[in-house]
Amino acid sequence: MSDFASLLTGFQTALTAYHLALMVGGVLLGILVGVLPGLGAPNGVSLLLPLTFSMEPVSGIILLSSMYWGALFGGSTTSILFNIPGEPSSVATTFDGYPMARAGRATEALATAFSAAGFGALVGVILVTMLANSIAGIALRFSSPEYFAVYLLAFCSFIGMGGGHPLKTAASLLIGLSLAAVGMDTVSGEMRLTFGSDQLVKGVTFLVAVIGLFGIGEILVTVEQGLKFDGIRTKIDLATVFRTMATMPRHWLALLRSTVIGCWMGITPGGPTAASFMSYGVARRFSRHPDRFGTGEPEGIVAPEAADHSAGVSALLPMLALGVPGSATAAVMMGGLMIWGLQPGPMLFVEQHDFVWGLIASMYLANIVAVVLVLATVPLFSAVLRVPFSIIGPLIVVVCLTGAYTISNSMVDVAMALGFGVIGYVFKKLDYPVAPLVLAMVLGDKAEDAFRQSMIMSNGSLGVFWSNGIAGSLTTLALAFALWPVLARVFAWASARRVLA
Amino acid sequence: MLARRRSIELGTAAAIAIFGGIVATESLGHDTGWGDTGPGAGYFPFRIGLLLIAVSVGVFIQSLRIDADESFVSGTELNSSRAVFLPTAVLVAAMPWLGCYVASFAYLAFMMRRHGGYGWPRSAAMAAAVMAVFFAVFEIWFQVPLAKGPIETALGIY
Repeated sequence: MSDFASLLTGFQTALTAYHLALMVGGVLLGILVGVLPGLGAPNGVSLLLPLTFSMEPVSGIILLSSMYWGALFGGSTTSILFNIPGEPSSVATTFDGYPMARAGRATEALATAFSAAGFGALVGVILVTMLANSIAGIALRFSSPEYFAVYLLAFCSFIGMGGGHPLKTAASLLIGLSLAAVGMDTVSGEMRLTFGSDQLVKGVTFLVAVIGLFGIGEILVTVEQGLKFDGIRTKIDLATVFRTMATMPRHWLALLRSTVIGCWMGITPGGPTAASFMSYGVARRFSRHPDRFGTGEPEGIVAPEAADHSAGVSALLPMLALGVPGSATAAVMMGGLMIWGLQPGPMLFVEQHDFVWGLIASMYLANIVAVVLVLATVPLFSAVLRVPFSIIGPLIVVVCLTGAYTISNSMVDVAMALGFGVIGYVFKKLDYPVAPLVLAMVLGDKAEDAFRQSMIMSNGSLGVFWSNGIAGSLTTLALAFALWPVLARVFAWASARRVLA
Repeated sequence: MLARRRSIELGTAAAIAIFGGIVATESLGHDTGWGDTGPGAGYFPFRIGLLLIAVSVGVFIQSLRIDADESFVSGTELNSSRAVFLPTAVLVAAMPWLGCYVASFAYLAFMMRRHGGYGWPRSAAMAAAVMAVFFAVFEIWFQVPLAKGPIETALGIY
């Protein structure tokens, strides 16, 4: 079946009253978690996941992905109106969004952000539609060495492309891989790292880690900055919105460039946060008037927003086609797939045709729903942030802990979420990235299995990872990413010497 | 200035190295080489643990260069974080005995009274309203029962 025909059957799945209602509900919940500091897309999706266990997988994924889109939009609202990024990926939007809003052009700033974001999302979905089948087709021929190479590439691209401290990124990844190993070994059945505890036999679930690291940890950091939010009050008038949207073609180059950056960072797991920063930096460097950046320049909003959303959307492509999520939120969703009993990866396209294309079709619809809803609800959700933090903060904590309990009705999970909260607080303060930890927890077992099976295939020779073109180039690329921080330093040193000489 | 960033950086790197050490040591109890079914159960974690130690040594050495005067957290900042963390820790400790609803109710009411400056009646009413919404969402709508404590049992709510 052609991609287009598949998409049409997908729309038949997605365009039911029930699924549209799920999209509206998911987007609204998403905007809410996006707006609230301390609750973001990854842990919003984690909190909602246990409630979808009884749903049909396709309905569950539509609800969760809609929440993701809503959260991406909601995060931008608070960046612009409150100068508080509701999501790490909307930090770059504060640079020009907030100055523009403070200058009395809040509606313009919001409309610019949402249009750019909508454009980015649309390109992302089109990319997913066009590439998903062919990538899955290639991946169907993958065996263990290729899979391990893909996982390795996912891990290493965080180190080389994540933009953070390379050693700290590596530490975060390795901690995630260690935690993934806790519990029963899938090959030999031995108990690893359980230290005789029955509670640890089932392993440490990544959902607890997400809720603690992203939720509780974030709250502890947020309260440090004081408990009052001062926002700009605004009413959305539609005339300004449409006038602003009409000016968008003027930014075509910035839109296109940012979307390309976003899609690339989404597919190779650099994630939306790195994408938005990189895109902002590139836009400033190529701008004809870089000095205007930071003072309310529209391109300073267009660039991070388009990149953020195209990265968020295209992060689902490798998750579906390869089983490698491109962002922390995609990692949580992939965990959801496994809990529903679906095996993410190319077989999904063969066995769960309706699921895949229902999801892809819902991405078109839900993003349209999201643009409309986010514009309509700006006054409502900015009122939410005016509720005193002494009510909102503790409420978020209770929601997080309750969410940790519902994962498997276990109080141990609640205590672990608090522990991860403390780790998240320290990591956040010391600039250890937490997204790699989550990704490593989700992929750890699969990566280890792929490695062990490759070793059996090759009788213990590491050469198996270079035994064919695909595996070889992926492995080499992965190693290049891992060594990139060192290589970049050597290049810088060499060119500095040349200048001196 | 309460805690220096450098000490916390060094401490964290050391803690991660110890964690790596625990992972590597525990793996020695399994087959870290070639077993009956290919690489043994300890093969992967053992190497991960060793790598983790190596990486944290690197972070440790880099952290030595941080300016010794840089602050990690100021006194007021720490106080605000502690004001949220300590009651939350009590909440987590109390949940297994009191159940989700009663413990969360007490936590919310306390935080509103203590940090919002609302009177007890108003705080209690708000907290009770939130818990009523929770009950409706979890028990009735999604049919995901939360933990109950002795008070619910006495009232006959299951």
